[in-house]
Amino acid sequence: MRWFLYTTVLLAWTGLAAAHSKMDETMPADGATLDDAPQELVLRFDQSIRLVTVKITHADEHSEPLKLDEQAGFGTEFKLPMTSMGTGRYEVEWRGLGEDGHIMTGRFGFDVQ
Amino acid sequence: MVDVWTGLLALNTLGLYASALVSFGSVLIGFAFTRILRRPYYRDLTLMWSLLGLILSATDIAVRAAALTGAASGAKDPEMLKLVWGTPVGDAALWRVAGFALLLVGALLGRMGSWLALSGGVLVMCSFTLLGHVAEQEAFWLQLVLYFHLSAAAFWVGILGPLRRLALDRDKLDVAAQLGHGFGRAALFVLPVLVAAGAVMAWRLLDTWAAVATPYGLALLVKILAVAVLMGIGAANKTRHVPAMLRGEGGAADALANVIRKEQVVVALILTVTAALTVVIGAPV
Repeated sequence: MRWFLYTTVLLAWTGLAAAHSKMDETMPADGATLDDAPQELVLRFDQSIRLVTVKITHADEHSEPLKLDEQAGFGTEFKLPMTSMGTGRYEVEWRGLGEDGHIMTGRFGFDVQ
Repeated sequence: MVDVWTGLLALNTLGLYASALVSFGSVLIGFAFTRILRRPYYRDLTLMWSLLGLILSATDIAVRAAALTGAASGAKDPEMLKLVWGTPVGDAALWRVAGFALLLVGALLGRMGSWLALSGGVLVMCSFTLLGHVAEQEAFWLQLVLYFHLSAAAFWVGILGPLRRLALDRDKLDVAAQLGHGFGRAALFVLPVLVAAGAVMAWRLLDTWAAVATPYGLALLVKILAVAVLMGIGAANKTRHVPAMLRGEGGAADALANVIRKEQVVVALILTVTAALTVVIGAPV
């Protein structure tokens, strides 16, 4: 009975992965298809957060962290310069800390033709 | 899928909840039933769970720092640790460490340390009102409601270990019956506080009926159902097992001990859902 209950909760848990991600908007938008790779990424949040890591992966192969040297404080909008890695799928994964102490994580992706 | 660090943080939070409720609950029960329950039947619970609480208070900060970077190295990165410490998480950790330390020292001092342990438990309960969805509402009265909700829950959880221990001791069946009877009477006052406080917080956090259909609302429903099951078991104890023990019926104590084991499993389920609500699932408002 015990393991049944725990398994049920954990299964439900994995399906409820909201994880406090309160991102309002990204540019490019999640799922967008572009002709050219953007020169910068814009991440907007509905609450002030401190962005700690942003990693961009191209075509499931090449992965690199974006520099956050100029994003040292809390804020709701972050503009991050990026360099093109060619056509294909780009996946962006970010992590940050809310002012209330919540750990925030999220990801979005776009395609460049 | 939930990120592995978020999962670890939820497990750590689950451990913190259990440590807080059992350590404070055992002290509350000791105070409430001082003429029935002797110290050896709950003192080791206070010691063990407050020590675990101290350890988990420290690992809570480390796991949050690791979750922030997505790598184990974050747990020893001074910049990440400082960042986490600078949020309400740091304030809560200070209250919690002070509280668990007082509980531990109070339990070690024996009778002299009873009030020390009690004040430590109050500090630990207060620490949970400093962060999370209730604290985000920035309403002192709601934090007070959460405090009473947690204290009532601690009282309930605190009875389980000592009562089961007594029910399994053939020489103490009369004491177990008296304790069960006393708790049944106290529960008439404590349970309404627990339920009313929970209802007020659910109403405030969900805000609208539509929010019941959100992941947060559904998880809250699971928690409410589990609490209802627990209340049903408690009612059966009060009306069936404890009166049978008072009459000296054979097998009644074993039946009570078995039912308490089931209650402990349901409590574990409730705390797991609560940890998920706090760490994994965002409040709808």
